[in-house]
Amino acid sequence: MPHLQIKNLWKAGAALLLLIAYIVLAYGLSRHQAYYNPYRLSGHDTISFETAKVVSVDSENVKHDEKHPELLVGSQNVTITVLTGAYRGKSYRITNNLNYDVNYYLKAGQTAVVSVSATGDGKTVNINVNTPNRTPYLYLMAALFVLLLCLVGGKKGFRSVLAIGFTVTSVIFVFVPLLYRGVPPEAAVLIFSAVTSCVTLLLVGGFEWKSLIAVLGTFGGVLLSAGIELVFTSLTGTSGYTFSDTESLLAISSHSGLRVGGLFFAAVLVASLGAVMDVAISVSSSVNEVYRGNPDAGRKALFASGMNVGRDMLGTMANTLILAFTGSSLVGLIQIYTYNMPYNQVMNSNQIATEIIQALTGSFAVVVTVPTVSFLSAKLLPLLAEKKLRFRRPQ
Amino acid sequence: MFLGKKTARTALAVFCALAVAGCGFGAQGTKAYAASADDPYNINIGIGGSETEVRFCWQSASSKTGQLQIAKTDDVKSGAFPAGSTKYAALERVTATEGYLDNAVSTNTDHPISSFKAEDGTTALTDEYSNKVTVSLSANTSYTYRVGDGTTWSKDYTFRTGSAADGFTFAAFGDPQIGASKNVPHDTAGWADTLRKVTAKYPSADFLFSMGDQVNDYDHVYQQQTEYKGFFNPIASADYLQTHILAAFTGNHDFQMGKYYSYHYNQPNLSPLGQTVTNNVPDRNGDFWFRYGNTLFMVLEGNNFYGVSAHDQFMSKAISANPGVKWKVTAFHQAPYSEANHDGATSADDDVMFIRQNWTKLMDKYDVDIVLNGHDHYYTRSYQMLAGSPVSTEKTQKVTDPKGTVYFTLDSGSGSKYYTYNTSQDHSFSAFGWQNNVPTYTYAKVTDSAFTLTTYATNSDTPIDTYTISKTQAPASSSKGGSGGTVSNPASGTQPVSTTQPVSTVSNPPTGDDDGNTPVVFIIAAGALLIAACCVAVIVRRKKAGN
Repeated sequence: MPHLQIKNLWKAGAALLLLIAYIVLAYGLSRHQAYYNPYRLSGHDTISFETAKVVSVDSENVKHDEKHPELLVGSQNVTITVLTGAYRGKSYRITNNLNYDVNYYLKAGQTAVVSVSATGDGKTVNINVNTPNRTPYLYLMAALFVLLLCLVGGKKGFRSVLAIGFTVTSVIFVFVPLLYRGVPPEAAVLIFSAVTSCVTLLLVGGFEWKSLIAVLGTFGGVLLSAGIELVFTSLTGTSGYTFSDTESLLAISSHSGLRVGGLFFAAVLVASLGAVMDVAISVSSSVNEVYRGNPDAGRKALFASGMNVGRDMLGTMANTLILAFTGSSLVGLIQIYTYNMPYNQVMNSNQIATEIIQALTGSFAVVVTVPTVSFLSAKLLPLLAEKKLRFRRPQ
Repeated sequence: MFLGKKTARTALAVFCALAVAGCGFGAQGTKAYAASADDPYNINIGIGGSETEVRFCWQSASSKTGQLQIAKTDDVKSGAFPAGSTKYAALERVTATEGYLDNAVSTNTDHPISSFKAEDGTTALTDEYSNKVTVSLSANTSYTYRVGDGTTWSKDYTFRTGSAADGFTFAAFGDPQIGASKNVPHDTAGWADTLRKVTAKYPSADFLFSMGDQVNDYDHVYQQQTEYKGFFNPIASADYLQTHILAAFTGNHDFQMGKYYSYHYNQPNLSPLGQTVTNNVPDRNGDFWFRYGNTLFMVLEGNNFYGVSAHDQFMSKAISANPGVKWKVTAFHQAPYSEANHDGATSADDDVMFIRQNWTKLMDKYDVDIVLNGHDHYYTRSYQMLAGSPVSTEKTQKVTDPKGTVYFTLDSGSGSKYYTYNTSQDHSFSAFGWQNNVPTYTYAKVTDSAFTLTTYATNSDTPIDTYTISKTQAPASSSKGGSGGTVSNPASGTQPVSTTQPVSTVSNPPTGDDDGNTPVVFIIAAGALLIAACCVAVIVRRKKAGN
């Protein structure tokens, strides 16, 4: 059916355009004037981070570190040419120190990101290697992922890409600016959850009843786990004030609307949102399949089928969240093991307590989502699908 | 003459002060001290560009040009200053910036103090005026002075100028940060206690040196006002900072109210280089230098951490203005090498790591001997650092003609706040770290041949740490770095690299004897793999049997 494909292409193009419009709009509306801008220097002094090409390594004195043989320590004298910004095209000889803090061994021909600091009179310029130039590879990786997603997932894959684009844009240009402007984090995260789950689930699951049920279930799951989280954060005395780098947040909140206290609540819910959506759509999809296969199945049977699928997922999903926690706090876990840190200190510390609350809240959310979505599917699917099926049945 | 002490103490002091206002200069030579709305406060004797210069600064509600009366103590007879002892101040109306959401009047810009609200949220604050006077004095001499607006005067204070003829000494503190504990009386009491102990133990210290964050709050002007008063006059029964010379600079707390910081100090050789900008208004907190005897002190504005080249240019100018100094000391707030560094190295915008990556190259370039920092409220002494690595990791408290620069992070001077060891980051630069949640100070003794820094907790006379750099060689004659032409670059390849002493085995913090290399964990891991294999085998067997 070629005409359908063309129609699909049109639809895909329109969706893409919509997404781009959303990104541009969100970006434009989220711009703000920083109260204090560390990059706006006095007296026309400038700081910028530019891409530079390593023309040659003129001399070097590096050796493998005794303690960490994978690290090269010492120093390189390199000639670089700045490729971007006001000093584009100019070449400088710079020293690249290799130590435990900064360890980017340079080779001729590669590019790197350098900090270019200049006084207003242009007489003093300092150029130092800041980081390797990583963005080309990050974009390559993202492009490969999108390609693979479309190849394996087909139409759904493409829709997932759209959903990812929407989610990332919403986080960076809507969710964070909302927090900055003083919207209570609790409200911001609920709005964000509702919007993101709607868009993601409808895009991935299609414009069908099962998707809507998944959205409802997601929101229900998030709300229920939010309640549980509220109870336990207040019992454990954890909040945005117990983050490890709260101090920088306090300074920001002095000069903006940022409400520090509720940030932890928001962070925890965002962290569990993905898993909840995952479970919600899986359960509602499977109930939907069962119903389509056997429209006469009773609500009890539908509920039971949802629960059966859900139960399989529960164990792995809870594991998913615990493992994600392991990944993100691996350094801390190694330290705890290394120093044989006392149980009472570790388990009650800000870091571990907040991580446990985060992991368990997510797991709670997943667990309560299963019966919620099963129940909603069993109740609503037959009601909502009645007309459509009656129409279809004679065929 | 016109006013007796007794009268001055009456409740009608304000009225009396106004009454003598018409007498103008007739009041000169009288010793009148009255509690008045126009009383000068936050009086401090700032460090001068050299040991014979002192730079006064104070605030007052009076809009009249301030006056300083100063004379050798021996010449002040029965409380009367001799003729010609009056100096006129440079007067400025004080302005500040307050967080815009907290105060509707201030829309993020520079405003007079009367634009801001008092703690009750409705009353306007009284305007403040800042007065600054700089005077040249004789070394090693006792002076008596008072400040005022010609009508209302402070009481008389006496201090002694130092001398660098046989070297000199100073006492340095990490962030006093009055108000950081959310209990100003607690913090001022701690600060007063430190000052009392330092001035009692080392009465001849030539000056006091505070590493920034003298105050804490940046939400409300009224709160920072209270904290400044607590810093400059922590206790009513003593006048530590009115009788001792002070060098102090900005931290990340002081600088957040725009220009407000700049009205509290009269900095020597203040450069526009390195200052920060708040909402397009320069904060006038730039880099400054002072020379004490054989030592050049360069104070850099750490809040402008991205202005590497501005600091570079400032240091270059300061060093060429002071040829032949024996020692070069740099001070700035945020510590590049601290065991309690508190800006996560993984965050996208990390001032501490940027300073470590960029500023240390300036210290290498200009052969700075010692860097003094605050910010982390935790004592750390680094190894001699060069090119970002320790020159040697041998633990020693004495070095002679060393390569590289030693970095000191000073602990809290008041006890208002402490940080803890940052467990998640590399501290291989650290030769010594200390935190006992007791205020500390560092006493420095400087001669041509040695620079010794000894750090004490205020509850003990036993030093926590002491470090001496001895020099047997003449100071380096030429400045290093610079590739010539119009662009000088500290990283231009002329900097010697530590070739003799590579980073050797470093174990900090100690990790204990057990390296965890027991076979048991491998057995467990193997067991887990075996179980997984068995599970697969069972499934395969069952399937086959089923077929």
